[in-house]
Amino acid sequence: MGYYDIDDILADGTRFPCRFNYEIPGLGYLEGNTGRPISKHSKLELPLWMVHLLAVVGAESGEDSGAEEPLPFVELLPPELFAPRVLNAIKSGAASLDLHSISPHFYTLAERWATLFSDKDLSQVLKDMLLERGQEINNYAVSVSLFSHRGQTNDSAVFLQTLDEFEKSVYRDTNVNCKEMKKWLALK
Amino acid sequence: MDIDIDDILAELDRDTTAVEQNSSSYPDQSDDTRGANDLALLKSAANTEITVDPTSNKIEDYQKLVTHWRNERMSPELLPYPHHLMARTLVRIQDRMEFIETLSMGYLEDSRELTVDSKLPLLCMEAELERLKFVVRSFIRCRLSKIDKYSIYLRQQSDSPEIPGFNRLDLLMSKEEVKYHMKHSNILLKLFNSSVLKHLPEELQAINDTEGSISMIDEPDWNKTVFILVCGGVLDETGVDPKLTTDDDGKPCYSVVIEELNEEIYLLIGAVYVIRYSVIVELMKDGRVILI
Repeated sequence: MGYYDIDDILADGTRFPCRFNYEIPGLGYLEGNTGRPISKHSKLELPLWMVHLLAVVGAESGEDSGAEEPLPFVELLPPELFAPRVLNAIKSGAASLDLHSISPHFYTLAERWATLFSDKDLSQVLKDMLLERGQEINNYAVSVSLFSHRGQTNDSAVFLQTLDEFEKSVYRDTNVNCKEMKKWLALK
Repeated sequence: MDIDIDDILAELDRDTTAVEQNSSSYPDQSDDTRGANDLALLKSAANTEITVDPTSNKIEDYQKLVTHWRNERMSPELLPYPHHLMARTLVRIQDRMEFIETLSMGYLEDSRELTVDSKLPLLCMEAELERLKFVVRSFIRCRLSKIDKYSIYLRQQSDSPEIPGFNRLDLLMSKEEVKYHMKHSNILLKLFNSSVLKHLPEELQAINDTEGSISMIDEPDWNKTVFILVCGGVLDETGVDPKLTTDDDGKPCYSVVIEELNEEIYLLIGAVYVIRYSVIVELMKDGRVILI
């Protein structure tokens, strides 16, 4: 993931629910009322690029002199995205899941989340899901017809709607390569 | 009683072809890309008068060029530029073009011999030349696209060389590529500066900031998976490959270790693997494996 990667930038804009651990003056505009302090324990939805630093960095207070971890500014609440409901759906049938409706950048976000919390279970679920869906993507991508312009049946159109952005790029690469290969073999 | 006379026969064989052996087995170390620390290579590369060794094998050079081309296309990082090989190839292309030109002038003079048959060698030469030029062009274009992609990374590398007083970029790139790299990144920097960066606070104006939440320097993806073919066959002075070991079945292979998984893998000679680039980068630079 690069600095100039547009998909990463878009994924970073996704909002995550979190709760403030401190009362901070002047930050009220995050809640919508400018000029007020943000109150302790208030729940907010903040974009990931803001939250992933705030959840790590804590306030430097005088009392606890580095002996224990300082309490971070915000606490990330378990998001809707990785609720047990979603993980169970993935485990039960990853190939038939509508990933795009859960989040268009599911993999990127899940990767970030797993890195942030060293979540082994989540990464295992992700790995299995990617393998299972990868086979399905491959199946749809290699069965291209040479002459029709759209190159997809109704079936695959429905399936494509359920892919997230990362899977779409995988599908696109595979599909283009297969098509080129077929073209070369058939037409020269 | 069987007497094994294979070695005696081999000796006889060697005698008859002694002259050819001498010329073709001439140790051609000049294109060795492993010489990242080889000062001699740098010096000779800086020397503009590169003499074309007539004994060095043209076909071998072409195959080397194709290997370099293939490795460059598949590897995530910018590989060292094969200075000598490219110098030789470019001189040959130039020679060939002039040769074809003089030949076709001969065709103009005596038009009575102008039949299809006598034209065939000329057509072949032209087609061959075009093929070679295509490979060279594709090779250079591929390198340029990588230089564009990693321009900040390369710049950072050149600012802090691992060996003091020794410019790494000269080894990595040809003179034209260094020029392109410098000019292109300057132009890009000027554009960024004048359009966006000058409106930002001073501490945010750096283009190569690694302290922020995301590093701004795009490094090559060292863990990219690549397809490799293990070819082996790199021998040292004693005629054996020091890195070669044998696996459990006694077949010759190289053993590599994937650090993160702490797993040892045997790469059999002649086999094809899908593997992380960082694991095989040393073997590739020695020419023991090639990317496909």
